[in-house]
Amino acid sequence: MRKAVRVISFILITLLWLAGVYEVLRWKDTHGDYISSVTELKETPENTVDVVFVGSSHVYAGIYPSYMWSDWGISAFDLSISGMDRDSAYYYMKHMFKTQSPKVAVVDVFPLTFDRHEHIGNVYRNYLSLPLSEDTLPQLKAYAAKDESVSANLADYISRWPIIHTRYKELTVKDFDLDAPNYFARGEYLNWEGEPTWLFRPEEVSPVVFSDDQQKWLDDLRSLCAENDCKLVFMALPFHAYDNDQYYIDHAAIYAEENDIPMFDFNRMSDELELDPETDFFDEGHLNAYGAKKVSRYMAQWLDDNYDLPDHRGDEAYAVWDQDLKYYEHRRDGDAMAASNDIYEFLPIMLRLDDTASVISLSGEYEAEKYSMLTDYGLSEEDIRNGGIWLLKDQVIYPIDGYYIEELDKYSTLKIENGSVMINRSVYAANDEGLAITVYDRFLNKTLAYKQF
Amino acid sequence: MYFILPGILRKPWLLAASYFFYMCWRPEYVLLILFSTVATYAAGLVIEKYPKHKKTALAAVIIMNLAVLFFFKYFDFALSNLNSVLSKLHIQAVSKPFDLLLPVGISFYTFQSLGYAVDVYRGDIKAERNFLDYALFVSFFPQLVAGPIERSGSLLKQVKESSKKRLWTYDGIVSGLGLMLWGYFMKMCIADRVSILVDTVFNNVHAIGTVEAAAGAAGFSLQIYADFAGYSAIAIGAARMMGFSLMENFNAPYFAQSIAEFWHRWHISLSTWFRDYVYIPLGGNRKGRIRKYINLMITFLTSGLWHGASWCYVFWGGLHGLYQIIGDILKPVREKLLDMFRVDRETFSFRLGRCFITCLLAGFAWIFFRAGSMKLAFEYVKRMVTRFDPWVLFDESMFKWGLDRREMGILFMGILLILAVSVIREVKKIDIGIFLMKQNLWFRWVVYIFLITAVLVWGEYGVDFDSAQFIYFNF
Repeated sequence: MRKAVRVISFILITLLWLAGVYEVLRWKDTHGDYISSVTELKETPENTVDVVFVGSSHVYAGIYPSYMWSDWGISAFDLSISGMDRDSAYYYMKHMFKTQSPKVAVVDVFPLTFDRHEHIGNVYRNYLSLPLSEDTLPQLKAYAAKDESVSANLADYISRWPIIHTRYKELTVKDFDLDAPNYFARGEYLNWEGEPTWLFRPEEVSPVVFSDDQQKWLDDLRSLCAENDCKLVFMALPFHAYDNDQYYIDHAAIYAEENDIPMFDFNRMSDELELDPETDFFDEGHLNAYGAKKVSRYMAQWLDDNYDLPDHRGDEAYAVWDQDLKYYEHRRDGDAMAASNDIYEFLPIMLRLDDTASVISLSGEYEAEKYSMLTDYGLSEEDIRNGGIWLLKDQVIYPIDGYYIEELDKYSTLKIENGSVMINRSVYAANDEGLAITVYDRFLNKTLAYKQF
Repeated sequence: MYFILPGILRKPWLLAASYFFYMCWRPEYVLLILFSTVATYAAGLVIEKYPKHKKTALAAVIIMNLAVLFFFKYFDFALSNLNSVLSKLHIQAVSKPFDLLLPVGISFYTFQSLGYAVDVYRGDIKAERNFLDYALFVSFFPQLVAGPIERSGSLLKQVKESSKKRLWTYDGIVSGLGLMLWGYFMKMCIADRVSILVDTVFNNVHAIGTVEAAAGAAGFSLQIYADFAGYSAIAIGAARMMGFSLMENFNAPYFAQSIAEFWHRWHISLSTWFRDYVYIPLGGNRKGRIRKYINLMITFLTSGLWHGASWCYVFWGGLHGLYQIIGDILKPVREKLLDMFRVDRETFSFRLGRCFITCLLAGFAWIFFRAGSMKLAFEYVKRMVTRFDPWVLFDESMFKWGLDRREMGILFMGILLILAVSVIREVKKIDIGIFLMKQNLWFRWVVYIFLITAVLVWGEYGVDFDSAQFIYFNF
């Protein structure tokens, strides 16, 4: 009996330990940045999503639910994974319907343009991000039918350990403590960078026909949405489409028309939306925040006009959408501050951002008149003339004399000593000449900007 | 199943499992093990029943078994050698009539069953009458494909007892599992990891210098030990769980202070097989010094050939034979020098020095074992002694040999663990499975859970890793 208890205890302890190890090693992102739309969905209260956008990186780069929330109060969510293929789109929607009952599902038909992943990382992202369930085997069988590397290693894919165990080589703090946006972001990938691109739009009518698999996918989506009392909408977000890609999208539009499904081909609607290939794209395949704003707002207006979507703003149950909006604002303002070299532009942004700690340092030789605008932020003219270090928190400014240390959040500690400002091991101002400002964001848990003026 | 079956069914179950295990690879090759089993079983009975013809019976069964082994393992080798002679004589080469795949474990079970026939011939044991018992002795799955090469006096006896009484115990299961875990750790975390470095070095012989070559040789010394000793630990542990005691195959071989001692510690089941069935029958050291040296060379050259159908293996075996002969010849000079310089032979430093030299000699010989061809092996040695490049130890080049800093760190930790386990074996005279069994519960569990985690996380396996086979499966 004693031995049996011992054996059972050992097995239980070992399994618990291995579960912990698995949690550290498991696949954690859908975008390539340690943020997973599946985790975000898990953190979403049940039956709160009204509109779900399903698709690949085109979706997380091109649809920002925060735009829909801020002006319409629509609770939208991007269920998007890099390179989402047809099988993934179907099984991710099945997974989503277990906890959510959206009124509208807007599916990007981009997966019609390819059969298998070009990068193994996207196979992992698409397969490993979903938790194990009764759908795992059918999903794997569907992958295996299209991808030899999956069919040849089916046992490894089922057990997952043989794939994820090598992640010990790349573990970071985010594997032990999930990045904060996982708990509230709505699936989008925020990005204000961009590069000029151009859109290719063939004039011919699509000469392609769908394969059985493509046809089945569209039919399955219709059935799945019908079963879950969810309206199906198709879209194709703008990207640099080559002939065949656009032909499949055109063919999807024909299918949509035949089946009375609304469809938005933003490649062909780019003029209507005034999408500028010079400024609205991150690269030739993806929109940036400026392009996403145009598309998201267009879709929000159309959804609001055509469906009964209540305004949930102010409802406690939808707090994650408020946090997502705050996340968007902090990222946007952080980006603007990092890019700005104009103190008159920089300071108002710094002041309006909540949950930040900013260290203002005046040292060395400088012309005090140059910084007279600081009097609007609580410094006296004498302060500006004499120099020193001040900490701005919650719109209140405190002078710092000598040694100062403060835990900004659980990741970062601020230390000010002998005129130098340190956050963790990074030195941000060490007796610079003139004005130096370091802004730490306690909501994003990172230094937003370090500027000298 | 084995643990819950009634005694009468245990042996048939194990036999069926062993044959199933063997057939998982290539089902048709089961005929070979069946042939070897039937032939040696029948030979045992004939030898015992007809003493006058026992020599003929033994010779016949040896020839039959070695013929099968030769056909499957050495035919291609013999043919290529014949063709190279023919080409020198400007005679048309003989074309290869068929392609053969080396049957897994054939060298092991052939030697095990031949050992049985010789034991019966010598009268050391009685011929086995129960064919199923004998078939299980030859095919017992934990040691079927890579040993240890068991003796009939030990394993066959245990096979017979297994239906009469329950052989397994709680302690046996736990220590067997512990030993298996250690074996998996050696194979998957150490051998397969260092093999990446070894492959990088040996596949780029044209670009290596002294340090890389030395690292490659040292790496292979570690790889083959962790690989084969790891497999042996798994085999012995699995058998122990079922209540069977297999012979020890490795005893901290790199702690040996001479090449002769190395062979008392390395692949013990094979070296004692060669001692008992080749070296001693040839006369051993009983017929004078010259004959002893000849016997030594025959034994080691044969042992080299047993490892593989290539001159590299023969050369490797020959080197080990030569080491011992030269060592024996130089012994008086060595002793004189030690006396002259008043070297204290009882000190740790003296033993460490001998151990180091033995490792160097064994490591040098491993180059020929690993190189793949004599030409490459000599090129390797040439570069090792002519391309002195100590700077690679300091300019981070070593992290470009296939293992980055992190992997080197894991490997280093693994080496320290092997060292610790070897010290335990040396001091306590017990294997790691039994040692752990004797420790406090908390310590045991911490070690078990560490090993399980290390194998699952650091083990070289999975979709993106082409895990090497156990090296000795090829022999």
